Amino acid sequence: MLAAPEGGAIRLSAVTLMAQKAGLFPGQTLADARALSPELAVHDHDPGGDAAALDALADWCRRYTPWAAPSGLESGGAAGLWLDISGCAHLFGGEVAMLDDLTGRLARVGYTVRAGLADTTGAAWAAARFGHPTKAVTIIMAAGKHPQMLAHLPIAALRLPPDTLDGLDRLGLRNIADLAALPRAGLARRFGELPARRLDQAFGQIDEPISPRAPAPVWRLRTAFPEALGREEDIAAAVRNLAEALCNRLARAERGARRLELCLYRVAGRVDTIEAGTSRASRDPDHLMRLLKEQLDRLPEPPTSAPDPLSAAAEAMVETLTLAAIGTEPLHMTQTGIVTSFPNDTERDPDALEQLVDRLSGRLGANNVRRFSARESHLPERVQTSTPALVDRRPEPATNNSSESPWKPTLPRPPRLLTRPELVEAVAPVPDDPPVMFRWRGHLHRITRAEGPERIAPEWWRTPDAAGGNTVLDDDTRDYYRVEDEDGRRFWLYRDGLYDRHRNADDPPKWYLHGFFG
Amino acid sequence: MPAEGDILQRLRGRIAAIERAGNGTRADQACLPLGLVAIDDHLPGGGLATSAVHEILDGDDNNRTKPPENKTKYPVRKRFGEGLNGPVTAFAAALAGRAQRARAAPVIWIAPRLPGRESLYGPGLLSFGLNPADLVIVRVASDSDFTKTALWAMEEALRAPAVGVVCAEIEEIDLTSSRRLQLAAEAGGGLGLLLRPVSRNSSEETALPPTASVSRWRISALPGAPAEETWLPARLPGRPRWKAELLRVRGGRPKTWQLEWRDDGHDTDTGRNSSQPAGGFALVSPLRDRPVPQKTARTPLPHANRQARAN
Repeated sequence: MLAAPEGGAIRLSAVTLMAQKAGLFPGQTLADARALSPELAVHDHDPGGDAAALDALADWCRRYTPWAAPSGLESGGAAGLWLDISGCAHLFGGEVAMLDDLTGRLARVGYTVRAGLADTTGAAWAAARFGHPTKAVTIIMAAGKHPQMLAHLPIAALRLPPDTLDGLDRLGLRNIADLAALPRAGLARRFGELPARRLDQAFGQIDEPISPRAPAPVWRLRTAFPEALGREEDIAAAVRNLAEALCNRLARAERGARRLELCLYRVAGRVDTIEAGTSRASRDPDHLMRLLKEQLDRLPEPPTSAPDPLSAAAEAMVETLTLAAIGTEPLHMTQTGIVTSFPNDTERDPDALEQLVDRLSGRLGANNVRRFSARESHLPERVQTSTPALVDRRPEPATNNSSESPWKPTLPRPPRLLTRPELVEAVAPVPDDPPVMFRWRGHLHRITRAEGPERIAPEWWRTPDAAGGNTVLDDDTRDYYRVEDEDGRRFWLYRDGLYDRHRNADDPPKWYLHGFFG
Repeated sequence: MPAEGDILQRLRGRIAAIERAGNGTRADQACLPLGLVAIDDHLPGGGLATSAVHEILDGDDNNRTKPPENKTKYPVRKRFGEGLNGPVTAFAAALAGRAQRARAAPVIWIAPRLPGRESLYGPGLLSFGLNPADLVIVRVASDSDFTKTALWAMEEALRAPAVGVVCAEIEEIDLTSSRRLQLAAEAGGGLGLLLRPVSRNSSEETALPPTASVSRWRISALPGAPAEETWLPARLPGRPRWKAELLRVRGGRPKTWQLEWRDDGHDTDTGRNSSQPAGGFALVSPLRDRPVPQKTARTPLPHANRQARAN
């Protein structure tokens, strides 16, 4: 029960259903109402708060469609929302399922909801308010059926001001069909052009687009959880996933986010919105995450009407997240993350290296300015990969403990590796012993010192096809030897395949040169 | 006489200021010590001058010892310009790694693009103290414009203040270009390492045109031990050893060292703190004083065999 001072008296501005049954109605003076039912609970009417709440609810409805707008407060404490669900319903399993979901959720939170769905904005408005002969919560005017259904509805369903309605009522016009049958010119003369316009809008003769509260950003990602999330860590992890996905999409379009909007749709039908801005267009998920996390941690305790902390926490759980880059700028492929492993580079301009890489890539081609990254593999040539330094892809998280890094060799590794091992003619008289000499590119190298073998087995979990290309190299066990020739040059040789497999003289084991030691 | 020493000191300082290629506003040039007293004491300033370009020549040439025996069967490398040998790579990586740790700035490595040929290998670089994660590789197409493009890239990189070390594998360079590089290094403050894969014949000091580089080194592989002991294939290679010739240094004298790389990073048994730099330079000890290597020979050398070989 809400009351507000009006015309020198305090009048009821909104009443609950129970109060309606007790004979109370909006516009009644509070004194009369108290006389009827002394146990009334009266609160001050706060139109601004109502509008804000309606806006918030419209925001929450953006979980269904980006095009959600409040249709305004109405007398008697009612209020409406418009949702343009064109192209959205199938995401929720159809129109019926969507409306059920919408009304169900709102009803659980404590709203009294009626939903109407129709081809036009006006018809939907009418359907939601007047189209419920059986007190159904939702009514759907099937596509193209709204003219017939509208015809039987009262003229009040046309969103006309009260004095116009009064005037039409005095003329004996009861439902929309009566009004539609009248000549337009006379109607306009008596009541202005509004009734005719509302008619046309309801029937769809003129367009009535709704303006969503926020312009729909293109860069919006949404994730809904089968089970609402309560823990902050879970929410942060989900936001992180969204941020990465968003950055990937931005990267494909070569754009960077300048402003971000993160919406947390709570169980209680409330939405918390976090906005973050970047000084420079960015699509670095770490960076964006840092910005969002800062505010995420500082979200105020949501106001709640729940009686106990437990249900308050339940209401605060997050069902759906959307992350949108509401401001984007063209951002060409840039360097990220190269200086992250340096702890004390605060005084250095981090852009300087990016700019250098930009310049070098611009002239030499992005493919020729590269960074190494390591991955776990037994095969020496697979340990190291390189990616263009410009490509906006994060390297794997840098481990502080370098001993765990895949870079860290357990056995000596050469500083130079032949990307394609070269076949050499080797003389190895003793099985499983290093060769005594080998010939590479026409030069004979007599081996004076050797160390080995280091046996590197193929990675059986990788099929030769997946290896892509060098299947010959990948399908056999290799025995690596570190050898030194007479001049002190050190090579990394390997024998392809186990010695036993090459018993016959026709198929001697092949030796390859793979690297150069320091 | 202390007064005379002071005069000498001042004269040296003035000459150094004149010799500096740039405007000489940097009064004291920072130096990067190599971590080996024998070399650092020899170098003016106690180390390699940063904000300067140094040349490192590849002393190893594939054509050095044996002429190709079968010229038709294999493609013979005309020069070692196709890539650098291991020792010079390792030496440069060790220097770059030291500078990287001292300055906490990334390393740019400019190299010719050689599809399917040798390339830098991160795990190996790491064992010489250069963290490959902080390395930016710049590959320049090895066509006729290679030298020009690579020099441009090196100059750009040297000028960038965010860069700690720039290594560039460039064979040919003239005085003008090297002066440009030197000026760029002085502007940017980084250490420039010009890795020149020149062949042995042309790398004689007289054959190389003069450059504005502050120092010139030649690094070549050094056999693990004297020749008469190396006939047995079962001997182990041991630590990396190089002959480091300082051919020229501004304000100093040439000298040659026999260096060894003590890479204790491999010793997982010692439980070294991983934050410590892996390995460091050491002088090769004279043979009789050398401690027994950690990785001992598989079989002790029979004395009789050695005798027989000597005969």
